[in-house]
Amino acid sequence: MDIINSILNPFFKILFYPFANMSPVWGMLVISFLAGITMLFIFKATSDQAGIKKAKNLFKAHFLAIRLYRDDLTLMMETMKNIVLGNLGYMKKSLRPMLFLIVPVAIIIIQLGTRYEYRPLRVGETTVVSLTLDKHEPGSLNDVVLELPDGLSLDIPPVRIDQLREINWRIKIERSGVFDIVFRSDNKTVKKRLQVVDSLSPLASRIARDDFQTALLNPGESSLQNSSFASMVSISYPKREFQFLGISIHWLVAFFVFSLIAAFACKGFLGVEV
Amino acid sequence: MMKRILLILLLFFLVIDTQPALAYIGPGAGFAFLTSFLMLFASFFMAFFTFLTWPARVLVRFFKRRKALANAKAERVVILGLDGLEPTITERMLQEGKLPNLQKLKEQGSYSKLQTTYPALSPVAWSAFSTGVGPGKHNIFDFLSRDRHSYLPELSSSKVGTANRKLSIGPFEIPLGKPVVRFLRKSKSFWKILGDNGIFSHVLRVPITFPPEKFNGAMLSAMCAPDLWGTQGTFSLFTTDESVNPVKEGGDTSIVTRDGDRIEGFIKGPENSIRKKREQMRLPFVVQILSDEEAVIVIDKKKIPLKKNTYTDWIELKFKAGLGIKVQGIAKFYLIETRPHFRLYMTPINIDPEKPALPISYPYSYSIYLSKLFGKYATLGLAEDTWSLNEGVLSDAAFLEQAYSIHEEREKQFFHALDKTKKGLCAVVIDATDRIQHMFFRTLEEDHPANRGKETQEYKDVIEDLYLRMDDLVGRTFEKIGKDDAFFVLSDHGFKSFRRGINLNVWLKDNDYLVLKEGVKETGEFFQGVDWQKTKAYAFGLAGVYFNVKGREKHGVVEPGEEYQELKAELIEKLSGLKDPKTGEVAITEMFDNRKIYNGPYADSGPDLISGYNIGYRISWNGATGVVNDIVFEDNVKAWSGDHCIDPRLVPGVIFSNRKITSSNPALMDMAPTVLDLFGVKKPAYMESRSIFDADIDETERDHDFSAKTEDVKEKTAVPVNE
Repeated sequence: MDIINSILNPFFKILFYPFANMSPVWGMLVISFLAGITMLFIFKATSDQAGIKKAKNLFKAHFLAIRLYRDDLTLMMETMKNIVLGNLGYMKKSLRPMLFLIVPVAIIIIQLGTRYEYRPLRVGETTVVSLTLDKHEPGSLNDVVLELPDGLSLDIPPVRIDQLREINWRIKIERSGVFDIVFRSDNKTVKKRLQVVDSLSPLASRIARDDFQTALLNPGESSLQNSSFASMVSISYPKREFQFLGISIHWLVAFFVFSLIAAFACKGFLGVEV
Repeated sequence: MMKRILLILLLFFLVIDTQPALAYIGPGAGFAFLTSFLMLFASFFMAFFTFLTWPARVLVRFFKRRKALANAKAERVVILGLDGLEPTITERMLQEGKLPNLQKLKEQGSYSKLQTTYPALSPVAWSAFSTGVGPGKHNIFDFLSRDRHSYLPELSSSKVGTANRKLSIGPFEIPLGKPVVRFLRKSKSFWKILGDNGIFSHVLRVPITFPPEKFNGAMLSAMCAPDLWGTQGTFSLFTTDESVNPVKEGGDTSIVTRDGDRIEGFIKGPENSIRKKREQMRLPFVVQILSDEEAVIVIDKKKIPLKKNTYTDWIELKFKAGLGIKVQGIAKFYLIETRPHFRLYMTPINIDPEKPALPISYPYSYSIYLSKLFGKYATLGLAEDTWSLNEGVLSDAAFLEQAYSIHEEREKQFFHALDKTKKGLCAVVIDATDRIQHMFFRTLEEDHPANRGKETQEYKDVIEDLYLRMDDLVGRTFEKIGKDDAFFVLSDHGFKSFRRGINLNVWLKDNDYLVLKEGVKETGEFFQGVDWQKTKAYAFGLAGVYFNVKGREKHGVVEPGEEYQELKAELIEKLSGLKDPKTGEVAITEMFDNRKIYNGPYADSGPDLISGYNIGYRISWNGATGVVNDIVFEDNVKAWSGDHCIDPRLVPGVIFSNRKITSSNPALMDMAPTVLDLFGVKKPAYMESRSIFDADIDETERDHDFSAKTEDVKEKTAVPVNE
C-alpha cells in the first residue's frame, strides 16, 4: 500500500497545492468539480449509455402512467409494479460503471479524508499521543521513552495500560511546525509526524505495522517498519469543522453535493446519460 | 432466474443496507441512485395520494356512469379505422380468400359499405365520425377554407397564433404564455360525451384532433397537426446540384457547399418568434462523405452515420431562439446520393413528442409518455411524405419504407392503448392505407398516365400487400377482443383511380364566371391576377365552388337571393354531366347544391356547390392551388394517382363489425350514436345520425341524401359512369 501511496501522494499534493493556504472550501470545491467531471467520463466510458437512457425513459413513462390511468386501480397496480421493476432495471444498468468507479472514488475520498477529516493542531492545544507495543516485543511498556522536539512538551506523565500494551502521553503544543516525535525502546526507534500548521495538509492520525486498512486510510505517512517494536502509533488530531456559506456540513456530504452539482451541470454538454 | 434473484438481493443490500456515503460511488452512479430514489419516492407518494383519493373519484364516476351502466351493451368498444379502405378491392380479396381475418369478422357479425360525407375527404368524413353530424354542424368542409377578405387559403380545422401578451426587451419579444391554438371544428365529439358520462377513451390519430380536446381519456392528435415550420409537412432536399429544379410543392430545396468530401449546409427551422426581427432559425450541419455508400452528418456536435438508401432514426433538432430558449423537433435523414452530386433528403421536421412545441396530445404528457415508452415517433398530421414521392425526390421504395415505418409506430401505440383500455373506448385511425393508395393506385392500371415510361411490374402488388397487412392487423386486434367487446373495422371513404384532372377555374373563366385582370394570361397560385370585382364564382380546395357574394366576400358581386339562386341553378345545369372532350367520358356526375346537402348553423360557411367528379377524375393540381391557365382537362402524371375526392356516392367506405348491423345503409357519421348507444349513453338531440344497430334509418333525417347509390348516379347522368 505504501508503494501505491507513494505514487498517489505527489499527484494529490500537486492538485491541492494551490489551495494549501486558502480556505478549505476552495480545495473541496475544485477537487469535487474535477472529480465530478472525471467520474462522468468514466461513467460514460464504462456504462451502456443507450441502455441507461432506455431504462430511464421506461421508468419515466411508468411514472407518467400513474397520472394517466389514475382511475383504474388494476392499471395503477400494474404501473406500480412496472415502476419497481423499472427502477431495478435502471439501477442494474448503473451497476457496471459503479464497479469501475469504486477504486478511483475511494482514492479521492481517502485523499480528501486525510485533509478534511482532521485539522492540524494549534499552538496552546494539547493532544494525546498513543503507542501500542507489539505483542511479540519482549520489552515492557516501561522501556518505551518519548523524545519530544523543541516546541512540544509533555503535559502530564504517561499513562500505561498493560492489558492493551498501550502508552498514552498528553503533549502540549508550544509552537507551530511539522515535528517528528521519536519513541525509543532499547536501541530501536519509531517516528511519528505531528503537524502544527495553518495550511491544508494531509494528516495521518495513525500509522501501523502490517495493517492494510490503516495504511489505506492514512496515506499521508508511511507505515511502521516490520522490525518496529510498536504495532501502532496514533495522534488525536481534532475533527475539522467544514463550513460552507456559514453552514457546518460534513466534508463527505460537501464532496457528494459539489461533485453531483458539477456532474449535473456538465452531463448535458459532455453528452453523458446518467 | 437464480442470477436475477441474486442481482435483486445485491441491489437491495446496496441500496437499503449501506451508508449513504458508501452507496455514493461517483457522481454518475450517485445520480443513478439519487434519481432512482427520488423517482421511487415520488411514484409511491403519487400512488399513495391517488389511492387515497380513489374512492372519491370512483364515487363521482359512478354517479356520472350510473345511467349509462344500466343500458350499456358493451364493456369496451374498439374502432380500427383504416383510412380509405376501398370496398371493391376488399370484396374482391374477400372472395379470393385473401383476407381471412376480415372474413372471420364478417361472418361473426356484419360487413357493409359505409356512406361517406360530402365531399368524400378525410377531414370532413372523420369530423362526421367524431361528432355524428354533417359539415353544416361540424364546420369542416375541406382541408382548407378561404378567407373571405383575401380569398387566400386557411387551414379549416385549426388556427395557430402567437401568445396574446409579450414582453419587449431589446431585440427580444418574449411571449408571456403559450401560443394560442384554436380548434375550428364545431359540435361535440362522442368521446367527450362518453367522458362526461364517466367513460374513459383512448383516441389515437383520428383526423381533425389538433389541437387536442380536453376530455376524460388520452388522445394523440393527427391530421392537421403541423410540422415545426407550421406547415402541413415540408420536406427538405439538400443538394450540391445547382441545376436541379427546385421542389415545387411540399418541399424545400437547399443548395449546400462542397469542399472535397466535406459538405456544409444548414437546416431551416421555424421562424424565431421571440425576436422582433422575425427570421427563420437555422441549424448548421456538416456532412463528411466516407464512400459512395456512406457518410456522417454532424449536427450540434452529434455525429449521425448516413447510409445510402437508408433512413436514420428520428434525430433531435434543436433550434436556438436566444435567451436559452430552444425549439425542438425531430426528423429522419435519407442519403440519396454522394457522388457526383450530393443529395440528402430530410423529412418534414415533426414536433418532438417528448418536448412538444405545440400541444399534440391530451393530456399534454401523453405524447411524452408514448415517446418514453416506445421512442420518438412521427407527430405530423400527414406524416407519410407523399410530396417527396410526387416531386420525384424519394423513390417508390423509400416512400414505402417510410410509410410502413410510421405505421409500425402507430401499431405499437394502438396495441398499448388497447391493452390499457380495460373498459371504455379505444379508437385508432391508420393512415398508411390512405397514403399508400394515393401514391400507388397507378400500379393497378398499367395504362395509368402516371405510368408512362415507367416500369410497372415491381410494385404491381403494393396495394394488395397493403390489404394483406391490414388484414393481419385486424387479426392481431381480433385476438384481443372479448365477448363483451364491440369491434369495428371501418374506412371513411373508398379509393378510385385519378387519371385526369379538371381545372374548374379555367372552365369558369372560359364561361365568363371568373375574370382575370387585364393583361393576365395565367394567374399565380391562389388566384393572383383574378379580377374579383368581375368574378362570380371560383373553385377552391378539392371539391368546392364558391360564389363571390356581395356582403359575404370582400369584393362580392353576386346579389344574395334571386341572382344567387339563378347562378347556382345555371352552374349545376352546365357542370353536371360535363364531359371530357378527349375521352368522351362524363367528368362530373353531379354538382351538389349546398342547401340540399347541408343543414346546421355553419351550412353557409362551406362551398356553395360541391363537385361530384366521376371515377378517374378529380380537380387538377393547378385547379386545387388556384392557378388559372388555359387547360381545363389534363392527364395526371404524378405518383399521387389514386383519390377519393369524387362524387361521394361512388366512394363509400367499408364497415366490418363483430355484431350484426341492422341498418341497411349505414353511414360513417352513424358511428358516434352507435358508440354512445353501446355504452348506454343517450345521443344528443342535434345528432341526425342513428346507431347502426337500430332499426333501418330514415334517410330523410340526414342532412343530405345518402341513399343514392352508384346505380342512381348512372341513371341520373344518363351516361356510363367510368368504373
